[in-house]
Amino acid sequence: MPLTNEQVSNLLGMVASGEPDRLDCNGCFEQLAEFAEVHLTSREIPAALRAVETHLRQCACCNDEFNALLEGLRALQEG
Amino acid sequence: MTSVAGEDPWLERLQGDVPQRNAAVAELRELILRGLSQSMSHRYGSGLNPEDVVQEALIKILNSLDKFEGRSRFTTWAMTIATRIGISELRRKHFQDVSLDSISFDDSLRIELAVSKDSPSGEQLDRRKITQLLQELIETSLTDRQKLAIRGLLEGLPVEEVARRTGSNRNAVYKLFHDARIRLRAGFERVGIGPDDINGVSA
Repeated sequence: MPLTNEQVSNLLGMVASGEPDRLDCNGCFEQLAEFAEVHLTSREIPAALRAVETHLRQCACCNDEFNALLEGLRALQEG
Repeated sequence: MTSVAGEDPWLERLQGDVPQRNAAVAELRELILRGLSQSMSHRYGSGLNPEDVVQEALIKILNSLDKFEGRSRFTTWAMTIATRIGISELRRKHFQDVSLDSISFDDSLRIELAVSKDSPSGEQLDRRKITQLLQELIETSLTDRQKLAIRGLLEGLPVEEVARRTGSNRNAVYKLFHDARIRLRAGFERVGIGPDDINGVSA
C-alpha cells in the first residue's frame, strides 16, 4: 500500500523536526523523575538534563509518559 | 528536592521492620493509585483500571529500591516507575483490542505521486519535488528495518507496539526511527533543502 498524503505529510514533518538525540528511551527514563521535578518547579533545566528535553521532543511515547507522570504528580500535590 | 538516597525516610520505612514496612507499602500503594487514577483516566481509551497495575508497579518499585539514588524525591521516582508500567499496559491493551487487519503494516514506504490534469502551482511543484526526493532518499539510504519502523509509526502505532509486533524492543525501534529521520534530513540538506522548506510543503 502506498503512503497516504497525510502519512507523507507526517513523515516530512518528522524529518524536518529530527534532531540528534543521544538518549534512548531507557536513558530518558532513568533521569525522568529528576527532570519532572525541575519542570514542576519551573526551574531552569540544568545542562545535565538537557538531553532528556531533546529526547522528549523526539519520542512521542516518552513524551506521553512524561505528561502522564506530571498529571499524576500534580494529583498527589493537590492531595 | 533531592535527598541522599540512604537517608530518605521512605527507604528507611520500606526497609524497616515488618509493621513499619507494611504501613509504608500501604501508604505508597494509596499514593500510586491516586496518581495513576488521574494519569490513566483519559489515555488510550482508558480500558484498564489503575487497580489492575498498582500491584505490578509496587512489586517493581520494591524490587528496585537499590536503584533509587536520591536525585529526586522517592515518591516522584516511584511514580515514574508506576506511570511507565500503567501507560505501557494501557497501550498494550488498547492495541490488542484494535483489529490487526486495520493496522497491519509492511515495510514499504512507497509514495504515489499525484498526477494533476491542471498545471501545478508553485507550491504543488515544491511538494512534488520534495516528495520525489523523499522517495529517492528512502530507497537509497534506509534499511528495511528502518522502513518497517517508520511504516508502523505512520500507521499510528507507538514505538512500543511496533517493537512488540516486530519481535524487537522499544529502544531498538526508537533508534531505528531516530537514525532514519537524521539520515533523511541529512539527505535533504545535502541538496540545500532545510527544515523550513520541508515544513513549507508538509502542512
